[in-house]
Amino acid sequence: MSEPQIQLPEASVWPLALAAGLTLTLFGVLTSPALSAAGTLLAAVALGGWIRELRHG
Amino acid sequence: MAALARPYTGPTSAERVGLTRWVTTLDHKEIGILYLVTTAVFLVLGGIEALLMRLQLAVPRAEVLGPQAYNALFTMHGTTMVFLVVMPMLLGFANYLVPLMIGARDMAFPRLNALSFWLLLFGGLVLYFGFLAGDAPDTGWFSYAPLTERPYSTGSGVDYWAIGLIVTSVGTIATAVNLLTTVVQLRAPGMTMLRLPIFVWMSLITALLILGAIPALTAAQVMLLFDRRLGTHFFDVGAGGDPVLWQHLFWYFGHPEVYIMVLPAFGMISEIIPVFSRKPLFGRPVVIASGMAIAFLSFLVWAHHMFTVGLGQISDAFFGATSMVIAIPTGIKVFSWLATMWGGRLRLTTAMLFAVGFVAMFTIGGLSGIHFAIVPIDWQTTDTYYVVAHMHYVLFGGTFFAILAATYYWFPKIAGRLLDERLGKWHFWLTFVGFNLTFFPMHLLGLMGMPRRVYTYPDLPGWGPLNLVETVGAFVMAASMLVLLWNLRESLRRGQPASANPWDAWTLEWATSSPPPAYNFETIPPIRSARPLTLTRRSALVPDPPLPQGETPSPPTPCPSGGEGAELASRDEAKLASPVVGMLSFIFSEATFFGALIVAYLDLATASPGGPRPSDLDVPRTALFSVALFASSATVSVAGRRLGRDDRHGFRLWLGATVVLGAAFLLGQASEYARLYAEGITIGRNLFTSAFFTLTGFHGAHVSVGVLALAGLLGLTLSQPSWLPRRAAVEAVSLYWHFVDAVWVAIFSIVYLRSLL
Repeated sequence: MSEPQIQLPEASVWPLALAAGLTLTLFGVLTSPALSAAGTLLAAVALGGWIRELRHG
Repeated sequence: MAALARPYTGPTSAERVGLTRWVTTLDHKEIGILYLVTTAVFLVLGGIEALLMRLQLAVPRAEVLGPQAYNALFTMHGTTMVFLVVMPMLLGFANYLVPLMIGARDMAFPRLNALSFWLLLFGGLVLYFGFLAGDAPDTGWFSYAPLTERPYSTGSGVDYWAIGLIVTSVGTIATAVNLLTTVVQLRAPGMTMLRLPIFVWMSLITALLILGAIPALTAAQVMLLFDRRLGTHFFDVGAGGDPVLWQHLFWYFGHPEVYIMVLPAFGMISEIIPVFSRKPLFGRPVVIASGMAIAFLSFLVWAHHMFTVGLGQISDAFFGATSMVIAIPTGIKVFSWLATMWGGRLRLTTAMLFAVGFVAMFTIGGLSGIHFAIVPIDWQTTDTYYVVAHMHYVLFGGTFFAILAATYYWFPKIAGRLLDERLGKWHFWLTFVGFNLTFFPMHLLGLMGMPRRVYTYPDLPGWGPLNLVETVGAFVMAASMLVLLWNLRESLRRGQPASANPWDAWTLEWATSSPPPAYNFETIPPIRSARPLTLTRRSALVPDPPLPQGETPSPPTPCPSGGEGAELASRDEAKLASPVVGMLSFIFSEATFFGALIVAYLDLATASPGGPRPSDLDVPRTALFSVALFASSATVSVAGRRLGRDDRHGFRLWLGATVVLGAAFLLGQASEYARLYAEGITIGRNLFTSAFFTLTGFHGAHVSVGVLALAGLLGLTLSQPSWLPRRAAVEAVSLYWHFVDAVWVAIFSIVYLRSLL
């Protein structure tokens, strides 16, 4: 019987991108709506990338 | 030896270099190191702030700093040390050590783990952005209202403070979810709960405290931001708001926070003292139980920070009594450490010196803490330097001494090299002397009546010399930190290489090489007690070395359960999937958040002198769209069951029905808001509208997130008919959905049905 195999998680930039997006969204509330919009967009892209990685991981 | 698996190291961090390695890492050890390095940088910043304050206070009527700069410095110092140094540094150690100690390969949710760290860093940067942009918060680390309200703090410093901390808090809550799930789900075979190392136990209890406490602060900060940015009146005295509500919410978070910063330190000391006493921890089960008791009681003592508010005799008596009671489980731990050392073969390494120093200094801080449980003494000493002395004996003499002990103890495991013991002893004695020179005289100054948070003071008898001694002590401590930095630098460059187990310790992290390989363990020893490495020695077994450099590991195969939350170490007795455990933990934190908002509603909704009032709400109409939300709980359950039967069509159908029902609820809520706004009932109108729109709005936001998540899931299943989500993931999303439904039951009852009475 073969030994159980375990895969370690591969590197990912999406957690960093999502954190940056969320922070920028809130930071924009104090500074500029454009920053909030950019942050939201970045967070959405990062979340998409994160989910893609999970599905194909 | 129990083989966990042939590991696949794959394209993990070890094969990446430079910045890319660190910004993309998901390895718990590297993330732990990122925490430790980042918090060390914040420690230097917080330390410089403290030194500047001590320079200003060195002599009476000094003019090094003006009052505004001094206010900003003590605010930043307190905030930095609590939120950006002590708490995350302890979480950094937990990140590195907990998976190793329980025989796991990583945390349960590696991506979430990385997200938590980056949120800490970015939250800290937001906080310091305000400071560096000349708009520093200057209202103290607990930022009492109404000082923080717009009329009294006109700049954006308070906003940066609140937003920075909200960002870091989200990361901290995510770490707590991760730690809890990791310990519950990923323990190696044989690692029962009672065999967990005490540090793991204390990290687990701390995670629960974080989930139960920090969201209360987040809710309060949201209300504060709404007051300042949207014109609500939560803490606005002029409009009938309640500044004492801020104090309640802050200290409901704040006192458990003390134990969030202390319990992991207890865990560290409970690991170190037995190893250097060559004895098992005395009364191990009682130490675990006392940690639980402390956690429970810590939620019942918050108002001892508020005795001068005038809460009434019954309240004062209750909180005074609970604050005394919490000293009992704390004292039990102190006796346990003393009894462990008693009769032991003590090895006074630097780690042990700091551990013993911790016991002594923390006991002094604990005893002065009991004084604050005695209401008349509290009245006399509150807001004096006696408080500053007490908190620093607990958090510096206590927690930070433990962190330093842990640094000397686990540095060889992390870096693969031993720290220099001669420099370490210099470091200890300089810290010990400097610490006591700085903080012991504060007891005396406090009893003499010197208030805290004053930027200067008159030349009263004794005040000048005692303050000068404190300043000298602060610089001695700064010198001690330079010794540590030098020791770290030299040890990293040419320190003595560390073996796998340089201290002859007993817990699992010492069963692997120093530093551990990416996969943590090739094999793990049999775990038949709380000290698995003792058994290993007895049976003459030693851990296998990691795979030699260059040797090709076995090829990758998909993890059976796949994806985030996969069981990374084999575990036979897992009852629930990791996403479910993670979601349940998250729901606990969300319950705290909504609990705080509901408390605010109950406190304020009926306090408005005029209308609008709760009776202006259209209850039958809201009841109608509430039915849609309640029904969606049933449809999401049916969807889950259909997925279990592999009924793809049924799953999609019922999932779609849930999305439609959720969207119908949101449309109903939007139409209600539109009607209210058309009638001039806006969020800033009065206390009721402030509390109503905030509470229902946050609930609506949660429903929106749920609808988006479910719609996304539905979209994926429709676009790829062959693909179905994992049952555990759907179960977790369903739990979240049931939770937002349950919250709406509470809101509908409290806000709408109550208005009919």
